[in-house]
Amino acid sequence: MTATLFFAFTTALLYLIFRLVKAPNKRKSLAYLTGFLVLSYVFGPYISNQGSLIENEYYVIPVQSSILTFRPTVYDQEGSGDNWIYAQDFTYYYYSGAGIASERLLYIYISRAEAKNCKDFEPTEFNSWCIIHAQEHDGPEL
Amino acid sequence: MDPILLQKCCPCTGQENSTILGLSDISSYRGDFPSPLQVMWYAPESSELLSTKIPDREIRSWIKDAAEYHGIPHAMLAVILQQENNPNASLGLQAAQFGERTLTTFLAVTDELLFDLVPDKMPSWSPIKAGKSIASGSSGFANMSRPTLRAAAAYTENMYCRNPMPDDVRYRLLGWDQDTRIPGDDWKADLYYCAAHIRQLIDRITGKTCHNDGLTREQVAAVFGAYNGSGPAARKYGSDAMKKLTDAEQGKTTLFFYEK
Repeated sequence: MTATLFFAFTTALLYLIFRLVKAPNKRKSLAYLTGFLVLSYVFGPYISNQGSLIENEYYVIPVQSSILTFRPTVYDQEGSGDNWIYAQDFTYYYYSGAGIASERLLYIYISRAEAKNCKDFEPTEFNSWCIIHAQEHDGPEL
Repeated sequence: MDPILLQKCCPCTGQENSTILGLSDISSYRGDFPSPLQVMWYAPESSELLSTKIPDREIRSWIKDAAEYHGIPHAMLAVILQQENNPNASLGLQAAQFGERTLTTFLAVTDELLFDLVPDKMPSWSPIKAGKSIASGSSGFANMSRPTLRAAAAYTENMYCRNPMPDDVRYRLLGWDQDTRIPGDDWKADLYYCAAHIRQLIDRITGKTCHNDGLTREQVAAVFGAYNGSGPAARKYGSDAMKKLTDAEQGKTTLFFYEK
């Protein structure tokens, strides 16, 4: 779904920029461009997550988050799954990579408020997370 | 003074063969694929110039040949292909998947021709899928990413000292070289890259370069998982793939890409 979304987003953006440059009524074209960008940022996570849920049966949206706000920030580039490794929303940071050794865990997370208490906290370096909450999965051991 | 010949020392012989310990007989599937959408990208051989359809049995023979060429268990390749190409999916989902993989391949080819013009990843400011691969995203019959495919091909060349595919597969109509190292531009070549990657993963998981032995069930599950990536989601993929293999042994499920 990434290539399709990239293609659609880039085409629409280039068209609106071209229209802004060429059109005599710049105010209207600027309104269209602004509206497109605002809508993209508001509904971007929903479109991305929905696409990932359709194409990847192993895609997980944490129960603490929602399809409207969940944003993966780092993906596993090696495997066929393109699974997320790091993600965040307005309340939490999440990690679901190779560092999770326990077979019962689905992902770990830390709240943004707790992260402020960590020295040298890095959202994309889970070893710097000073407090960790763990989410187990419901199914049998992986 | 005579010139000194430098000969590359190859760690493996290319005759290695990995098997699955205690694997029961799996029934061959001889029917048509149940998939409602049967299209693929393929460069024909000279003898296939006027063909518009490749029989499903012939595709299964390609799969067997690719597994044999890389000395990997045939059933493992069949399971991974079934995991990546759910043959029972609806027409709409399959069409969307084919369209997405074709577009990813198109962007990869464009990137190759236009000097890295297409971004490898979505920029961090993107409202949609920031950080996700674009030109180097997963694609093709085996759903492999371009860096993974290239690493697997290089591994075959460096450790087994041969091309990831034999010449009769590599060179097609008018001598066209299909070893492009781009996922999805030829689905027969994809099978050989996929088998090369499984061979690489077998060597990595067992810790034995040139593995030439039986694989335990745990090692097979780990290879399946590593094919999908790392972390809990990949482990789940690995256990699902293992279940598919076990069910096939017990006759509870059909491996549509498996024919002895």
